[in-house]
Amino acid sequence: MPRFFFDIMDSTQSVPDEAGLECRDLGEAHRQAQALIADAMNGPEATRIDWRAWRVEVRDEAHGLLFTVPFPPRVG
Amino acid sequence: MFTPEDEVPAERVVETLEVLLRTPPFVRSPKLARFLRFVVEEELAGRGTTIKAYTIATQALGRGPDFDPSLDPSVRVEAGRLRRALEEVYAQHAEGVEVRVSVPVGGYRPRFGTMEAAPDIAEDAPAPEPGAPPPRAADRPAPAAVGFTPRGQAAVIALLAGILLVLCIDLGLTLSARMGGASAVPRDIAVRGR
Repeated sequence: MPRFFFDIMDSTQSVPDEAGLECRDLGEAHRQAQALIADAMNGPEATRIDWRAWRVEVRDEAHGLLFTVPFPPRVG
Repeated sequence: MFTPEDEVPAERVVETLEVLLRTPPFVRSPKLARFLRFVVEEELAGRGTTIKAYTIATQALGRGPDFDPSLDPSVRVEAGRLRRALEEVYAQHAEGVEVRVSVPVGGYRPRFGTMEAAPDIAEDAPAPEPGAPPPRAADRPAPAAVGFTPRGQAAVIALLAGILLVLCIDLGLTLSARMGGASAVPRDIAVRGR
């Protein structure tokens, strides 16, 4: 299975993905990006983070950009 | 179901930790390896309640004392990656792993269970994204048959009873209108006839 990398960033900060994840296809990579977003937004501490500025850049094994998934504005 | 944490001896957890850290996802990411080692060792040392984003950032991820978890989502992001990495390890590299380590969504404290037991999907599933379908729903096996719980059965019965009641009322009103209408026509005719 191909490995995808999920770099998470806003305009000033970046949390690069060192390990990547094996996904069957682009659809699974998109679901993994959404799962990472949900995990990040449902952390235990209260935050003042403006999630609208954050996004996941999904990259292939050569670290070429495949697509970007924006964070939703807020946790429901 | 997970076997409760206190039933897994600490030495088995430590052995499992070392095996996990030699698997590809953690070899590729020293950051995730430090994260996992820190939370497991803190939990085993009885300091689980002090595992917070700040302690993880400053003691495991090399961040400075000015790290502000309310503005910097690094630990939240790495926690999500750690969960995905553990899923990958248990799906693909579980040989020789005796203990299932998980970090449930909504916190950073690890939980330990025996590998003989299946993981508790409800506890480990990521929280659904608001306004969107659950991100990993497509990965879950579809149930072979759908059944109703006793509460569901009561709801269905109540719904059917309600529909029946509405139909009865509608029927009664219709009959009443027809009967009333039959007696009204002659009066109407009689009035016009005057």
